[in-house]
This record gives sequence, structure tokens and C-alpha cells, in this order.
Amino acid sequence: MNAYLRLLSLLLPAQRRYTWLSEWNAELWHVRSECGFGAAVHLLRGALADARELSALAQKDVSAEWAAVRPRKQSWIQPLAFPLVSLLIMACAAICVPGARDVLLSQSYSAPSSIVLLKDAEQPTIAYATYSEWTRRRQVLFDEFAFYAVQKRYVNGERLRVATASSNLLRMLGLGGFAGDGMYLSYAAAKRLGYPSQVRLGASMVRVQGILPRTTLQLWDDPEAIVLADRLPAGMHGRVLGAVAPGAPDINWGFAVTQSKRPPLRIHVTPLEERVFMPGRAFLFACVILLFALPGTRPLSREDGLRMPMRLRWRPTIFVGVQVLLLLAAAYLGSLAIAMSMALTRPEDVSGPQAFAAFLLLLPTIRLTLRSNRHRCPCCLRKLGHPARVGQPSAAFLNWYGTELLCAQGHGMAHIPDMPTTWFSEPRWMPLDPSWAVLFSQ
Amino acid sequence: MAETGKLSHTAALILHAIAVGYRYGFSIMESTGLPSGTVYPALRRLEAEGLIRSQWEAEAIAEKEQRPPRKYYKTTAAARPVLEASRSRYPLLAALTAPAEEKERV
Repeated sequence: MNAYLRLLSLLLPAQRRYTWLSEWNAELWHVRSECGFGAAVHLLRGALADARELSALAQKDVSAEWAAVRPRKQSWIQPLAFPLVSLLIMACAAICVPGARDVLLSQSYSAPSSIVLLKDAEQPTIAYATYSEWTRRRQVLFDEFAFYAVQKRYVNGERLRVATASSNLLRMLGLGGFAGDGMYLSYAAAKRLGYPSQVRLGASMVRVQGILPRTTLQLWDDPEAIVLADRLPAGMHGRVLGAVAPGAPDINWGFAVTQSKRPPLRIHVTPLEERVFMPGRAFLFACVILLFALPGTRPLSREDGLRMPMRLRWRPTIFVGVQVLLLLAAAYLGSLAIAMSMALTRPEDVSGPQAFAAFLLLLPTIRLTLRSNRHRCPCCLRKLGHPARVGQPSAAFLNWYGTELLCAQGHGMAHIPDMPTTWFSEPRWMPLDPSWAVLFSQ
Repeated sequence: MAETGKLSHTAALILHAIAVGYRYGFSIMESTGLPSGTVYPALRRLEAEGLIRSQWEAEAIAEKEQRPPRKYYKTTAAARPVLEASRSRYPLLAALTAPAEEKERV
């Protein structure tokens, strides 16, 4: 009997178990001693019903305690605190990581999509004489060509990769403001040399014509300084860039160039865009993947969405939209900081980690935001409270059970099922009409 | 608190039994003829509604008689109007439950 009572006492909240057991043990003792074992068994039959009743009353008390808690005043900034704090942290991280800071502070530069590297299939470089010949021929595929050759040379005593280039190189790269013979330094090289107005290059002094904006110099062989010249030695070998003419046939991976008295050259083509790190593209790719992944982890639609008035449909949508936009900005900065902190030199190597980091940052945070907004009143956008359990899980096979959340302002209540049933498969908002207002007058 | 006159017949019968001096669960069962599965849950509800209150017997008395202390129930002041309303609604309540003997009243 005692074991049975102990077992039943597990139905009760812990703080009520001892009192309940004491009362029943005392009753049983008295009944057994005064009326015999049969009467005790007869008495014991009611213990289960009693335990269940007391358990239900205890649950009511808990609900009453919840109800007694006044809802905290919520300002408009509170629901946006998480995305705003995330944005702040990620912005700090991006500013602290040098590579990410360079990308963020650079002028908006995007390499022209028409620029490609022309590479001989036999060897990576092309002779200046061949380049000169191409520039003289009538072109079908290209508007113009540019040539540059990179050598390691001493500049003011510092060993830098200096590119000797044809005078049209910077203009072709979209840096039209940088023209005229002389030296152009990359931002990092200029910083290293102390922003000089002229430098000693080998035995001669060269005037520094300008400092190229950050992250713009993404050419092959990674030049740190560029010297523009009208004429270069014919035997010099270097890289040749071509600007593909608008409307030119698709050259895809390469083409062949006929030469007089010599076998044709097989030219491979590589777009310059591959060299230029475009953080926006990697991030956009992560967003596209997220669009496919998110519905798999969280249903995006509301079952009651179509039944709600237009006003109530748009307000939460705009609110969630603002939150998601802030999270996207935070994830962009965070992914940039993570990718750049990995110290990968080649831009194409940075895009993958950035996309991966962006996806990992976005998926849980957006999922959390969507989930949190399910528990928000569509009228006043405050968090719903006063949770009340509905139904019994063990008896809910054909019924439903879950939680009901109430808007403290009396706008309505949300039914949130614990498992999808034919009645409720998704959370459902049930608005309360004005006749309920008397309950929420406080 | 339950509204005056809105008590069910069973709850009114149990409340009446306590009022006339049956003060613990088993004696209420015996006096009313109701099973334990009805009496004890009803006692919980009546207590939750403030119509009765429970009190543990003094430990010293129980120890002296070498038995576990018992929990006794007693009607509150709030029960009086409810009882009067119930008695007018269920006139046979008094007939169903005879007043407890002096021993029960302890």
C-alpha cells in the first residue's frame, strides 16, 4: 500500500508530496486499525482520483501565478535588441580584422567584367613584340589590349613587385583618373614607403603619380607598384589583358590566333573577375542556399495567414523583415571578418569560407527570429504571455494538445500545437472581440 | 469561492458532513456513503475554494496515543452562507447526514 501511495505521489508537485503522503498514510493506519484490511483497500481506491485532483489544482495555481505576473513594459527597441547587438559586434569584428576593414573602407571598385587575361597555352607569358603586333591588327574579339611584366625591384630600399606596364593599363582596369607616365603605388606599398612623392627605382628617381585605392590591384603576379610607359623592350615577356568587345562572339575558355609563317597560338582566357574578391557575391550565394535550407528547418507560412485581416498580416511581416535585414547585415560583416581572418591570399579561396560562414551565421539566427515572432501578438507586436497547457499528451491521438499564449493587451490568443494534428497543424492566432475587453481593463 | 447555491449535491453533502462534525476523510466517507474517490478530491476542491480549511493534529497528542497525526477539516466563515443556500436547495441534506457523536467532534 505504501509503495502504491508513493508511486501515486509522483503525480503531484514535489512540494505537495510529503503532506499528501502523510495524510493518506495516517488515514490508512486509522482505517486498518479500526475497520480492518478490507476497509483500507476500499479507502485506497480513491487515492488515484485524489492525486489527480490535487495535481490539477496545483497546475491551476501555477497558471494563476503566471497570470499574476504583470507583463513587462516593452519598448519598440527591445525586440530589435538581438539583431542590433549582433550587428554592432560583427561590425567591430570586421573593423578589427585588417583584410575585412580594407574591403569595407575601399572605394566601390568592381573590375570591368570584360577584362580577361590572355595566356599562351605553352607558356604563361607573352612577348611584348607579339602584344605590339596584336594591337596593330584589326580586332574582332577585343577593343584593346594592355601589357604588364612584374619584376622584383628595389624601391627606396624596399624589395617590391613592380609591374612595368603599357600606358593604357589603369584606364582599361576602370581607373581612369590614373594616367600619365610614372609610378603608381598600391595602398599597402605606399603605406610601407611612407607615402613618398618620388622614389628611387634602381639607379633613377621616379615620380609617384598616385596611390591606387585599396583592394583595386588584383592583377596576376600581385604587383605592388606599377610603372606606366609608352614603349617597352620588344623582348620583354609579360601578361596581356584584353577588353572583350561588346557583342563579340563567346570566347568561353580560349581561341586560336593565326600568325604569319608561324604555327597558330592557342590562347587561354581567364576573366579578371576571378581575381577580384567580391564579398557580395559569396554572401548572395549563401543567401540563396539559405532560402532552400530555411523552409526545411522551420515552416515559414502561418496556417492562419490568409484568414487574418490585411493590416494584421503586413505589420508582423514588416517587423520580421526589419529584423532579418539587420541580421543579414550582421552576417555579412561577420562572415567577412571570419573569411579575412583566415589569411588566405588568393581571392577565390576567400569566397568559399565567407559563403560558408555567412550560411552558418544566418541559419540559426533567422530561425530563432522566426520562432520568436510566432510568439508575438500581430496587433501590438508584444510578446505573448500567460502560457496555459491544453489537453493531455497521452490522450491526444485524435485530439490536440499544446500551449495557449495570451496577449496581455487582450488582442487575442495563439494556439501552438505540440504536434501537427488534423485540427491544428500550425500555430493559429485567435482574435478576441471587444466583449472580452472588460477582462483586460487593467 | 463557489457561488452561493451553486454547489453540487455531493459537494454540499460533504460540506454539510464537515459542518455537523465529521472532521476527517474516512468519517466523511462513512457518514455520507460516498466512495473515497469522490470524497477526497471534493475535499481538495472545497479547500481550494476556501469553504473548508485543514489542520494537522498536534504531534504531541498523536505521539501520546502512538499513532500518526491526522488531518482534520473544518468549515470556514465563508462556508456558512453557502451551506444555508445548499440546505434550502437540497432540503434532505440534514436527513442524509446525522450529526457526529461527541467523539468525532474532538
